[in-house]
This record gives sequence, C-alpha cells and structure tokens, in this order.
Amino acid sequence: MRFIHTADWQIGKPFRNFGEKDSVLRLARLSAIEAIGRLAAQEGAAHVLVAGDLYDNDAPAQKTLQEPLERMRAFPAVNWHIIPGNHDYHRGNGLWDRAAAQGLPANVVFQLTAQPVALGEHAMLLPAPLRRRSEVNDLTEWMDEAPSAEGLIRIGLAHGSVTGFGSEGEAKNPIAADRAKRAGLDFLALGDWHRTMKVTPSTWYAGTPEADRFNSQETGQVLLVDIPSRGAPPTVTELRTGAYRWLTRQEDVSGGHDLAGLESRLRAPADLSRLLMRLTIKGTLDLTARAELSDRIASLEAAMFWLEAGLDDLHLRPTDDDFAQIDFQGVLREAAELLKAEAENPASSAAERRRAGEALVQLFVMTKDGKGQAA
Amino acid sequence: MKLTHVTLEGCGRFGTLVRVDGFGPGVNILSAGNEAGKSTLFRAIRTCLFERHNTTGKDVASFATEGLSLPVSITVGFEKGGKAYEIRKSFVRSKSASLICDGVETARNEEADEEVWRLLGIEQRSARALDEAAFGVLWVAQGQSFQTPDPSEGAKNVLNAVIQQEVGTLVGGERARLLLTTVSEELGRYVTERGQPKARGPLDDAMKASQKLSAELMDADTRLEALRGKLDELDALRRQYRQASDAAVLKSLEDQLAEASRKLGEAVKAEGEIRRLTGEERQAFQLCEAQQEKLTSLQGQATTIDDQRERLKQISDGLAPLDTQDEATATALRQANAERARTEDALATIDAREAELQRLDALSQKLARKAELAARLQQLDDFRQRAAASEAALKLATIDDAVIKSLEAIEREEARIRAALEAGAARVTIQAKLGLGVTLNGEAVDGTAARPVTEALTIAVGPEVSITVSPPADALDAASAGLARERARLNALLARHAVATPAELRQRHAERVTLENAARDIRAERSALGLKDDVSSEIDRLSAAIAAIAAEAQRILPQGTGPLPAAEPIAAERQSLAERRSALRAERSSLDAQISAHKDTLTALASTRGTLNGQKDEINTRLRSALALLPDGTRQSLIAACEQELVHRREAHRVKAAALEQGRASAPAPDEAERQQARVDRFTAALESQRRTRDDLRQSIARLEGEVQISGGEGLGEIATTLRLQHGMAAAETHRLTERVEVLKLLKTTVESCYARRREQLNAPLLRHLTPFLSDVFPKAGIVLGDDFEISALTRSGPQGEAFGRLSLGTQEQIAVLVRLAMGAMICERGEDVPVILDDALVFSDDARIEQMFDAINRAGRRQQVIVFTCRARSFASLGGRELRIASGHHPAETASS
Repeated sequence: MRFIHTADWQIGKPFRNFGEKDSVLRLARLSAIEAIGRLAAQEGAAHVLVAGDLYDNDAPAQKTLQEPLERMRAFPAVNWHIIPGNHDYHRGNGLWDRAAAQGLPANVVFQLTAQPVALGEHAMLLPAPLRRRSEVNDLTEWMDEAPSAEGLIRIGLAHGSVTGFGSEGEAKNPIAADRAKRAGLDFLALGDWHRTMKVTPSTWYAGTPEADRFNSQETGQVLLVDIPSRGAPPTVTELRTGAYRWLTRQEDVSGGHDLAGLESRLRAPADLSRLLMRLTIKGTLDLTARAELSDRIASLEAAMFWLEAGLDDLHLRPTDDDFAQIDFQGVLREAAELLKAEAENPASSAAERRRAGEALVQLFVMTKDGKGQAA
Repeated sequence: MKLTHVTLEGCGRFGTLVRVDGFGPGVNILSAGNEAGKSTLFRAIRTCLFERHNTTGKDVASFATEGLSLPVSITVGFEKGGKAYEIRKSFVRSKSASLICDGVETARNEEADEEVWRLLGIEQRSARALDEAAFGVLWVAQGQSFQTPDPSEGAKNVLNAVIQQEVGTLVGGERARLLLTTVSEELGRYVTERGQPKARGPLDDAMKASQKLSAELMDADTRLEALRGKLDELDALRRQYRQASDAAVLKSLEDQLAEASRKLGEAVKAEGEIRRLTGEERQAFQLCEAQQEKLTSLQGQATTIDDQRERLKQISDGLAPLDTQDEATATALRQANAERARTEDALATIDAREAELQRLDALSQKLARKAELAARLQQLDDFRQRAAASEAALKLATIDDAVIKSLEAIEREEARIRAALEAGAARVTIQAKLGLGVTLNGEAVDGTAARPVTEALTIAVGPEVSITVSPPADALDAASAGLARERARLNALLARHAVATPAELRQRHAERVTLENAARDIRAERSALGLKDDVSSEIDRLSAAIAAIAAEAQRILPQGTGPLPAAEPIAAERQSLAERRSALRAERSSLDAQISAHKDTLTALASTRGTLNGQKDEINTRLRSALALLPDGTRQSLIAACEQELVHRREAHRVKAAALEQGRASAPAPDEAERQQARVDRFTAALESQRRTRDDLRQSIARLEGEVQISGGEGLGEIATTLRLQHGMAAAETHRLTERVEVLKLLKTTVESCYARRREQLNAPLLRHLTPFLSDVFPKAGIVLGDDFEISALTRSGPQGEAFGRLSLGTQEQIAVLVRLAMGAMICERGEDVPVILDDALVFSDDARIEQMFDAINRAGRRQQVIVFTCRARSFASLGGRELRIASGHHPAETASS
C-alpha cells in the first residue's frame, strides 16, 4: 500500500502583510496541490490522504472553494481523501456541503463521518473528521472499536494535537499519543502542525506542502508512505513540494567591520528570489555603520522575495567621528549630543529612547546627505 | 564719523547753491515745510558718499535739477578720527571727485570715491553694488522708518563683529536652518502646523485606511458571526424536526385518538336516550302545570268579580257627601271676594289724599327757599353797583407807578447835573470876622464861609471892594443846558397829567393806589361770593328761580283756597294715613288667603269626584269582561270540570317520571361523553400541532438553508481574515508613520531649541543696548528678536508677545526706530561712530509717545550724532538739539575771493 500523506494546505490564506506578494504566495499554495498530484503519479501512489485544514477558513469564497478541487480533478488517477480540520470543520450547510452541492470530482472524497472506508482492496481508512473548531474529546477513540476484515491495512486519518507532545497545534482537539497502537493502526496520518513531525514510527504529522510562516517549517513537503502489509512497519519518505523558503535569522554585529560579513551570510542561501527572511540584528553600531547597514538592508530587500529586518535590539553608540560629521560645534552638534543623551537616558521610557536614537540617526543621515549643509 | 556740513547745487529743487552748516555732536534737527528739500538733502548726502562720481545710474541722472544744464554738485563735510574731511563730487556733467583732509586734497576721482568708502568702513561687493553697511541701517529715508531693520550683509558683518567681540558667534546656524527646513518639509507632508494629520497626507491616508478597514472588518465579523449563528440555528432546527417526525410517537397518538373516539360514541348514544325520556317527563309535567294554571285562573276570576262588586258599592258611598261640601265652599268664596273689593276702595281713597299732602309739603319747602334766593339777589345787586363804581374811578385815576418813575428819573438827572457842576467847581472859603464887613453874595461872613463856585459869587469887603468869582463858562453852560432839558421834560409830564406840581402829581398817584386797593378788595369779595359767571348773569338766574317758585305756588294754591297749611298738620295727617293704609293692606292679605283656600278646596273636591267616577267606570268595564268569561250561572260547573282534568294529568306525569328514573340508573356517568370529547380534542390537537411544527420547521430550515447558501457564497470567513490582516497592516503603517512624525518632531524641537538658545545669546548685546531706549517709550516692555535682528514681537504685560506685524503702524515705527538707535549705540560703543539720520520719521506718533521718542533720540544723541529731518516744526519743537537751516551758499571760490 503506497499513499501520500499531506495536510494543512489552508487554501485561501491571505498574505496581505506581504503587500503585493500576497497573490504570489496564495498561488503557491494552489501550485503545491499540483506538485502533490505530480508526485503521486510519479511515485505510483493511488491515494492522497489530506489530514484536515484543506481550507484556511470555514466560510471561503466560492472561487476559493472550487480552486483546489479543480486542481485535484486534473489528476484523475489519484484518489484524494479529505477530512475537515479545525480551520474548515464540518457542519450542516457548511463549506463541505456547499462544495458537495456543486458536484465533486470523481476522484475526490470528503470523509465527513467517522466510519471505515475501503482504500482499494488492501486497506481500510478510519477518518476522524472535526465537526467543531475545538473538540474536547478525542475523536480518534472510535478507531479502537472499528472492525475491519482480517489482513486489511488499517490507516487512521485525523486532525489535532497529540496529547503531551508539544503545543504547536493550533487548537485543542486532543489525540492520544498511543492511538495507533490502541486501535491497531498501521499508520495514523495526522494534520494540524505545519512542520513534518514523527510522533511514533506509525504516527506522523505531514506538515504543510507550502510553508506559510516564519519560525516553522522552512520549506513545504509531503510524506510518501509505504506499508507492505498489515502489521508491517511503514516506510515514510519526506518529499519537497514547496516553492518558497521561510527563514528566520538572528545576527549580531559589533561595528561597521561586521557588516560586509553579515551581508555575505545573508546572501548565501540559494535562490534568493524565492526566499522569505525574518532577520533580527542585535548589537551596537556607530552612526556611520548604522547608515551603512540601512543601505545594505535596502539592497538585500531588493534581492530577496521578502525581507523583514528587525532593528529594535540594535543599539547606537555614536563616535566622535559621527558627531564630527554632524558638526564640530554649534547648533547641530549640540542637538546631536542632546539626542544622544536622551537615547541613553535611563529615566526615559524605551519608546522615548528609541525615538531619540532614531532622531539622532536622522540628523546624521540628513547632515551626511547634505540636507543640513550650509549652502 | 560726524557730518559737519553739506552743500549742493543742481540737485532736484536746489538749482542754485545751498548750504547746510552747523552740524554738531548730539541731536541736530532740520525742520522745514514740505518740498523744502529735506529728502533731497538726505539723498544728496548718500549719493555723495556712496556713489561713484562717474556713475551712469539713472537714479543719479534723475537727481539733476530739471531744466538746467548744471552738473549735480554735492559736497559733504565730516569729521573722522579727529580730522576734518570734505568730499566734493560732480555727477552727470563735468564728473569729478575730490577728497580733502584738513584742507589738503588727498585723493581725486576714483581714488577719492574709494578712499571715502575706506574711511567709512564699507565695502564694494561688485563693480556696481555697494554695501552701505551700518549706514544702510542707521540712515532711515522717508517712509522707511516703519520697517523692521533689514541689515545688508555688510551691516550684519558690522553688527556681528560687534557682537562677536562680546559673546562670540552663532556656529552652524545656517546648517541648522537648512536642516529644519528639510525636517519641516517632511513633517509638513504628514501633519499640519497644529500637529493634526494633514488632509490627504500619508498619515491621514493610513489612519483613514485603518479606520475604514476596522469598520469593514467589524462588519465582516458581524456578518460572519450571523452566518455561524444561522448554521447553529439550522442544526438546532434539524434536531427539532427529527424529534417532531418520530413515527412511534405519532402512532401512539393516533391509537389513543381512535379509542377515545369509540368511547365518545357510546357515551353520546346513552345521552340521547336519557334526553328522550327527560323530554317526555317534562311534557307530562307541563300538561299538569297548564291544567293547574287553568283551574287557578277560574277560581281567581270568580274572586275578582266578587271584589269588584264590593268596590263599586264603596265608591258610590264616597260620592254622596261631595256636593254638600262644594256648595258651602262656593258661598264662602263669594263673601270673601266682596269684602276684598271694599278694602281696595278704601286704599285708593287713602292714596289720593297722600299725593295731595306730598304736593303741599314740597311747595312749602320751595317757598322757604324763595326767601333765601331773594336775600342773595339783593347782595349781588349791591356788589354789582360797588364794582362798577370802583372800575369807573380807577379809569379816571391815570397817575400810575410808571408816571412816578418818569418823575423820579427827571429829578435824579437834575440832581446828578447839579452834583457834577458842584464837584467840578472851585470852592471859595472866606474867614472873616463879622465886623470886618465881608459879604458873600451879599450875606455877611462871620467866621468861616465856604461855597462852591457853581454860579457867579460876589465877595465884598466893605463897600469899596467887590470881588466876583465866576465858574468856567463852558461848565456852567453845559449844566444849565442839562437842567433846562430836564425842567422841560418835567413840565411836559405835569401837563400831560394835568397837574401843576410834582407834589400834586404824587398826591394823585397816592389816590390811584387807594383805588387799586379797593379794586383788589372787590375782586376778593367776588371770589368769596363764589361767582362763576359774571354778576349780572347770576342775578338773572336768581330772579328766574324766584319767579318760577311764585308761579308754582300760584298753580297749587289758586285764588280763594286760603293760605298754605302748616307743615306739622300735614305731617300728622300723612302719619295717620300711613297707619290706616297698613291696616287695610293686612286685611286685604288675609282675604286673599281665604279666597285662595276656598279655591283650593273647590279644586280638591272636583278632583276627588273625577277620580271616584273614573274608578267606577273602569271597574264596571272589567266586571263586564269577567262576567263574559265566567257568567254567574255556569261558575260552579266549569270549576268542577277543570279540577277533574287536573287529576288525570298528574297520574300520566307520575308514569313518565318513573320511566326516566329507570333510564338514568342504567346510563353511564353524566360527564363521560364530555371527558371522552376532551381526550379526542387533545389527541387531535397534539397531532395537528405536530404537523404544524413539522411544517414550520421545514419552512424555517428551507429559509435558513437559503440564507446560509447566499452568505456562504460570499466567502465571509475569507473576507474577514483578509480584512484582519489588512487592518493590522494599516495599523502598523499608521504606527510607523506616527513614530516617524514623533521622531521628526523630536529632531525639530531639539534643533530649534538649540538654535533658539544660540540666537538668544547672539541677540543679547543688541537687546542690552535696546533696553534703555525701550524703557523711554515702553516701560517694562521687551523685544523678541528673530534671525538677522528681525523684530518678531513686543512683550509688555507678560511673556506672551504681540507679533510685530499686528502692532499699530505708529508703534511699529517707534519700535523700528528704537532698534536702529540701539544698533547705532552698539556700534558706537565699539568705536564705530556712525550718525543716525531720520528723514521724516515718527509721523504716526501721538503727542505723548512722540515726547517719549524725543527722550530716546536725545539719549542716543549723548554718544553719537543724530540728525532729524522733519516737516512738523511744531510737533518737533520740543526735540531740542541744534537747529539746522538750508541757506543760500557761496561757491568756495567766491568765498575765497570775498
């Protein structure tokens, strides 16, 4: 038995916080479905099990509702078995009923009830669809008592958080960590976590096929699962499907001499045009280096698909040369020293210190740019 | 540097040579009328000092006197560094320049031009442009004194050089201003001057976008919540529908309804049988009752016939005595009416006599009034005669107070003439013993005799000596003429009033005064008599009243009736008549009561008779009807047959009642049918309710499904999620821009505060010099200076300043002049002695303020030369200082030759 385990497509998720990149990232999630279909065909997997959260929302637009179904329709040799997750839980007249009312592709099956379904001649699927956003009971419990013919491979499909196994899941929806063992499952395909995770040899989170956040899975992927026979241990292979890489980086600097190396490191990852990075820079810089850093960040922003640079933890330490660039003496020099004192004043709030520091940088940049130069 | 003299020729209105001498230290004032050439003089000084002699500038060319072909020749003398200089220049024609120092020419032409500039410490910025430096600030042309000083670069250099010597320099000020401009420009894109987001600016756009998205998000969330609510409601309705469609429940209800219906049928049938038996029993009972009623009716009829016959007998007995009572009452009524007629006649007789007595009494009172009227008539007639006599006498006495005043005036004039003659006359005094034979006008002198010479006096000493002393002929003649004129006036007055002497005239005036007093008494008496009209009218009125009374007496008491009776008998008789009338009226009232009682009695008797006759007729009618139904002959047989029928019917009823009792004993409980009907109704209603519930639920479910389908298709959840992200972004952008604004504000305020602090230091020396001048005019006031010594504001009562541009023109001019004086003082203190020249300044100053300005100008004059040109000689009279005059001059050559 060979199938693909995937989850958390979250079709329709908006990325407006990425400005004009929103449509690109939305489209990437749809393209991931085609990547999965191609992989299934390529690997000879007749079934794709989607462990919940196909949609990002329980009330999607009609176009959003139909787009993934049409993508799946394009792979008629692949059977797509889908259960609702906490993002797209099932309820009467909800999105699943709406989609079904439009007419499903023949190769797409919504598993909306907790009852065994045959997966070909050799396996049985035990789905645990969510009917609420947040369940307090373990919906996989019924699998313990679910009968199946002798020799059939038992595969569970569920969405939730494995009890006592971290807290990255988005909702409660508890699932017993030993459910596969107690229910005699050969494989328990789980969804909810957006990163691939092996809970037990036969219990896995597939992760998302297209990464969608920082501090999570860097690149989207699915699991290719092989179960030779009932009781045999599954073979799980991670296959990349994501187009974009989401990196989170923290860098430390101590002066202008660090900046060239910093830029070099940030440019190191391949395919920068498909790289999204959240960068936090810590340390201390003088005003000259601070201005140089701004210039380097500007060039990196142009190179990468997306760059978020956090400089809140970057402290300024103006040097005499900095002040000399502003002025040797006189009004601007006095103003610069006042701003520096305010930026370092422990009696002021953090916001006030930050503003004073930023004002000092502005003063430096403006005088450097000639805006404060006498005609 | 101090100006000492100026000459000019061919300049403007000064075609010929004029000269102004006498410039000295301190205040100098040239006071001359309009078009006297003050401004020409001011312009000439500037031209001579600051223009090249060979300039082709139109200003200088236009300076030449119109219609003359003379060069514009100007000479300015000045002292500098203890030396006397004179610069002579000819412009336009015969161009030349010559600088003379202590009488020796030291430079000529261009060299002279530039040497003067060097001496004055001013620089040439270019071949054409010259910076007049401090002179540009301190020499104020006509109409320029209102403006805040705008120092040229050269002037600023001079002022700053002075200031730098005292407090240093403002380093980086220009850079700071440039930076502030940049910051302000960027801030201006975000916020207004008052710190509000600028309309359609980036911050305003971000805030509005955030607000708009917030509203849209709230709307989307609300709609999404509504959608989820509908889905919950849909689930609940489906559960209810499943419950309402439970087949087991429906079957149970239908079975119970069938059983109840069967039992209801049985109960209804039993009830029908009972109703039939009850009906028959009721019918038999009603027949018994009807027969009983018929018997009772017959028996009652017989009793009624007997009672009516007895009643007829009683009525006949009651009618018999009524006729006797009627006759007796009619007789008594007639007697009472006759007695009342007699009483009426007696009362009429008394009323006639009473009227006659009233007329006699009134006449008696009028006759008494007639005597009073006659006495007043006599009094008025007497008064009329006396008044006429007084008026006639007063007409004849014409000597009134005016005549006496005329007499007294003549006498006073005579006395005045005599006194004047006597006062102006010589006085002769003689002392002689009687025996010496000395006489004065023939009278012997014994001792001392003195007399004024108002006429010729003759003094004799013995027979041989006679001395005549005469007054001056002219004085005597004048007095005599005056006395003769007055005598003529006196005689004319006496003749006019037909008297011989003034005494007689005064006697006649006294008589008139007596007559006037008598006339006043008569007027008082007339007032006392209360006369409204004249006396004759009053007399006529009284006479008429007396005649009317007499005529009335004649009418009431015709001839032969004797005298008018006395009042007392008339009163006694009227009293007697009144008593008699009261008695008769009481008697008449008694008779009226009797007549009324008799009439009431007759009416009552008639009514009783009518009532009894009516009753009698009615009883007879009813009796006839009763006898028709129950004749006396068949009464007994009819009643006996009716009693027999009643016995039969009571037996039949007893049989029916026994059958009914038996039926009731075997029937179900009386409320069984009702109970079964209630159960049938209940089960029917339950089934109907279930059906309606299912219908309602089906409709509600269908409606909600439709609504959910519509709402779901809109993608509300997706919209809300997207809006939430957008709103977060807009809020972040707003925050970012707000932070940017705060940073720029902080940068701006910091640089501004540093700049302001430096500028205050820079302006301090000038303000220090300004303070005494300012105190002269605006005590306790202060000046706020901006960049380049610009006057920003005046502070008077508090720290809040009044913007310079908002002050009155007069105050603006005064402050501008004071600041120039302070600049001059500051420059002067550092050894650069530049005169202050004010051409036609302080034109809007009131009397009080101009005096204070004079104090300030004189304060400046203590340390430097101040030259004031004015056309307001009277207003500037109290300025003090040296007075300058424009005088015709002589050419130096002429002066030398002379």
